[in-house]
Amino acid sequence: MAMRAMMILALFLPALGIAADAGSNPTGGWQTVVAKVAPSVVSIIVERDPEPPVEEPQPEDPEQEGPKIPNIFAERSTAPVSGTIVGAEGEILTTHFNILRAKKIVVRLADGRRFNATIKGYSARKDLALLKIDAKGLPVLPRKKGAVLEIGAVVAAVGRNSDNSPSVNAGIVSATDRMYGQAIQTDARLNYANVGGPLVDREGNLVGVTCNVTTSTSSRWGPNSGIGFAVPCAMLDKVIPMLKSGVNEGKPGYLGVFANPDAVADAGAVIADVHPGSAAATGGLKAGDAIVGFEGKPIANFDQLRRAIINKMVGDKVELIVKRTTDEKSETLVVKITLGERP
Amino acid sequence: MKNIFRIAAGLLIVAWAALPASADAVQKQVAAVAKKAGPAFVFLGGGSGILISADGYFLTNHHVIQKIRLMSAQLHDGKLVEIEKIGIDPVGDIALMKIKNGKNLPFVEFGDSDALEVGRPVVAIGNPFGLASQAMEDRREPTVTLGIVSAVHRYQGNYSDAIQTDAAINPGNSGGPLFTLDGKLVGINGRIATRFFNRVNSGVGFAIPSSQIRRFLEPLKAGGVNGVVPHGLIVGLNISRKEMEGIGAVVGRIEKGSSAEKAGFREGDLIVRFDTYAVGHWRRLLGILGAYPAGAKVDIVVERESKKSTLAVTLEERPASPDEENEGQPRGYLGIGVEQTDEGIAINNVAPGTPAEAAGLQIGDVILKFNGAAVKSPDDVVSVLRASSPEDEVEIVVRRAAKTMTIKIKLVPHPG
Repeated sequence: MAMRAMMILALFLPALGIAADAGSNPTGGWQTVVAKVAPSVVSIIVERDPEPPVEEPQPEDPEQEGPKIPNIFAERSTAPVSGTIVGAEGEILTTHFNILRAKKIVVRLADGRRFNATIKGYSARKDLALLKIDAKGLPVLPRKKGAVLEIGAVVAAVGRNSDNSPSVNAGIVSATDRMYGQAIQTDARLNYANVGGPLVDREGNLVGVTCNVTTSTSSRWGPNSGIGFAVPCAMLDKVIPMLKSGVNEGKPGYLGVFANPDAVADAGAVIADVHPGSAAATGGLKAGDAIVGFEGKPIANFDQLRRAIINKMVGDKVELIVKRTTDEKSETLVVKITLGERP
Repeated sequence: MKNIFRIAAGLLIVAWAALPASADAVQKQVAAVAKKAGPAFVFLGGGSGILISADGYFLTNHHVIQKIRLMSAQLHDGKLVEIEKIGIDPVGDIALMKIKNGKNLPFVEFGDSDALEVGRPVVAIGNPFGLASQAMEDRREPTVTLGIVSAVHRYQGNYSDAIQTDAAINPGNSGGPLFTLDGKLVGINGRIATRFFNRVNSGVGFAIPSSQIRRFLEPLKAGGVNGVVPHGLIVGLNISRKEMEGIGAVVGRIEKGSSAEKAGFREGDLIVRFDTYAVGHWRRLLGILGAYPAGAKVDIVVERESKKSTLAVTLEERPASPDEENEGQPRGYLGIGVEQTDEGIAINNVAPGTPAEAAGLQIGDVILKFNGAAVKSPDDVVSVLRASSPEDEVEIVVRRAAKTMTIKIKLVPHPG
């Protein structure tokens, strides 16, 4: 009897070992989840005219001159991109970058059916766009009830490849408060093909929609860097109705001032440098100026300035209170600036 | 017999059911590491740091400290704190700092980097691209990434005994911690190998191992020599480049009357063990030696005529290399070290935070031309740099694998 018990144990232990190995790899074993989630992920084929070349990257900090590094991400791929079904009656969410300058948009479903799509609304600032196709009864991803997103949660970015097969890139939630409350951060690898698809958890629940993979040189990390963003469900619930009602939101207003990275507490937002060609440059702001008020709000540091600007749009007229110290004299100025686009 | 099969089937079903639970365990562990280490994280200028004691000692990279202008840092709750420099190790790229008047601060504990195995999950925490300042609230969230140990004991120039990981590490992660899933500190992240000269993660990150940092901790706390802790050296010992793969490192010429001779080394000895590490190759020996401070006492096992003996050695000070020396006159600085190899003159070190690193030069790149002239010896490169001025632009033609490229790099003032 003891011999037989030993034989059973001998059979059992390797099985336990295999189970432990497969389970301890958070990026393994996604097959069931992908099968569940894939019907809600679509492929989007965009026709557009050849695009103007992307400008060479401007040094973020003009002081930090270095060798000119060519922007290898400057060319958009012509392959299909991804989208997420967010409404059973044919509402598809994808990124604004994915449909920028599109002449014709075709959505290809999991079963291969193709539909022409129209743009209901977009937000350049949030990098989202809502498309509409003439289809009904489409599967929408479930949400986890009472979900609290945790840093370290294992998630996967699901997309569609050019042959319409699903792709899955797993990773974790890296941070929950990015882009001033608009996005979460993940190290699941995002690229030009899978961005616009859903970010899901290990049970196949929707966590967010991936975004911010563009050829813009202000996203210095580029695709596939382990730095990726997704608009979480709570924010989607605010944005989708806005886009559905036909709102087209432009780009965020840009001031164009660089912070001194070693901040002295409560000195205002002290400018280390002004971005040439920006609204700040046109408005006459200078290095050394301290912005102490913005649209009636007192500003104690650069973080406060950034948060005050975050909801402003291109073309917004704003009033700044600036403290300028030259030699012995210190003067307080009222500066009116029209926010522009990031040059 | 039937009962046995029933039991076996039952056990296998239990094992199978255990599968998803293990994956959840990893998620719980990563979340726990992030929760515990987050409050011990230090935001420093353009980089990261990590608290290692309740009274405020924290670690970061030396190249992060070189760039900050004010002696202040920020903690996870947004609070600004005053900091001071305790000791630095520029060669090993480590700086020991302290939060002034630190009390009851959250901190992390060291793990054993020598126990790491390839494939083990690790978590990196840092502030790539300054993303933590994009918060709506005052508190700051560092970026948490997950990967595995890709390799250990990597010889990457001054990172002579590095942990290699595929956890996403980008500019801004420098000085930040690398943890195993039990929340123990096994490395400080500081370098990445990049692609197409773009300074963005491409799956290869390097961390200084905790085993090395722990050896330097007391000398750093004591302040070193004018604040600098020199690395160790066995004076008078030359190591042969003879390939004895897997067997050991062969001792070359021994200088007469030197410490090496007095310690008992003889030309032709086979070094097989250095302190706790097995030595299988001369590069590994140099890598291990590069991870020790001056003054360290180590036992070295040598084989001579099939007999093993242990030599007790106290490491002396390694002098600054010609590349690091201050020669008085302000001159240009690129940030590379070069050596003669079978393929030509190759870069054997790229110092972090230098024009060379920013331009994407990598260890192993073969320099074909320097300012238009063919490069046949290390001196062809060193002499041009010695005669240069800050702000000079140099033109370098390098070969990496099958690709040849021409890069123009602007020098900076020598930091000596």
